[in-house]
Amino acid sequence: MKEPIKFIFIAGLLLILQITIFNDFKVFGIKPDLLLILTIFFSLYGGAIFGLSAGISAGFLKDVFSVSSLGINTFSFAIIGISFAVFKNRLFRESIFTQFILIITSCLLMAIVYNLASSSGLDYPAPIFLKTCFLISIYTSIWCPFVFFFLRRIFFVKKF
Amino acid sequence: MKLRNITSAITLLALSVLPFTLPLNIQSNIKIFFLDKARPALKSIAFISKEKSPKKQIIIQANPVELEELRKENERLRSLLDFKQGSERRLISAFVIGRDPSNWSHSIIIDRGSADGIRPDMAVITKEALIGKIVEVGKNTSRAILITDRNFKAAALVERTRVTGLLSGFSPNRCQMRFIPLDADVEKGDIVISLGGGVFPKGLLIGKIVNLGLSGDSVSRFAIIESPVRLNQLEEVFIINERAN
Repeated sequence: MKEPIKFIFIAGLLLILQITIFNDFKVFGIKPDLLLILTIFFSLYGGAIFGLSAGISAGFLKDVFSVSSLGINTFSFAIIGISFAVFKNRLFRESIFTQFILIITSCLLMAIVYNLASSSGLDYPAPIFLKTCFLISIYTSIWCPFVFFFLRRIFFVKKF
Repeated sequence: MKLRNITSAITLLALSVLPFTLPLNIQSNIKIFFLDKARPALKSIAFISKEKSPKKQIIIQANPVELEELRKENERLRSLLDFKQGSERRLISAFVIGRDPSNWSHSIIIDRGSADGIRPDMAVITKEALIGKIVEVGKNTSRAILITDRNFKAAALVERTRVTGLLSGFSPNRCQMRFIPLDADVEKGDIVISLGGGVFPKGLLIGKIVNLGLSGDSVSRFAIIESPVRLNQLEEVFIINERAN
């Protein structure tokens, strides 16, 4: 019973950080996606159902505070949450390189879903699209180890 | 056990698609509900750096750097007040208390809502230029989409030659003006303003053209526009309390 409440609190905290304080840490107009890191964490350490639930919750929170249509992030994060859980036993989860690859894959997937679902469609110029994806991936990956460390302490990973 | 997990996964996946199926007005109402609830927390965090506790004020008196910061903030707020009082339009001032969590969409959350006279489609400006429009309105909070968001659309005009085009977002820092005729007299450095006649009043400064190019269909050109406003560092904005006919 305590774990869902802890999750909601942590997700809310990461969201508030993302929309307020982390705007001061933008690099080339990009900020790290802390809710994505949270989803990947639960996907890797919690399995398919935990990953899916975390993805839906984190994605919904992000949708609510974003100007984009409701459901874009909910669906993207849900797919990310369940997809990575399939490989969780075959990945070295603590490796920064693994986290980096997972984040690049997630950012690319979310970018495609977002742009397809938006009213303008996928008409972003390719260089801008790829540059933005790359920057989001790099910057989010930099924050990933720190957020993972914090989440491992909060959720007592050995319980999973 | 495995069948139960599969069933749960399918149910949750179906749940993730549910928000897509909701009507737009219900989506908007859900967002506004959460925005209004989060307003106190967002406002507290936004003002934490500006509030000075009595203890800190004693330290500030002895610290010339912090005194200089206070002086600059005082000057900035005075110039905003002069702008508001000197403007011919009725303006509602607002503080920016949050921003879009996504890197693909660009919007700001402000601490004014319908209780303060805010309505959807009102133009949002700073003393330098037009920066967006109101899209969602709660009782005490609103959301404005910025000119750099790809879903932002407005009619724009090159001030020098009166060439018109469609303004939309382009990248995290810039917007673009599309459908410029191939033979139109448009150059780098030209100033772009709002055309008026729709959501925005005429003549609001948007930015300066920094680049020109040929669109993919080769029958028109596009111009990349840079706003004079640092959209990543917005703190105070004004909402024009009227809508153009």
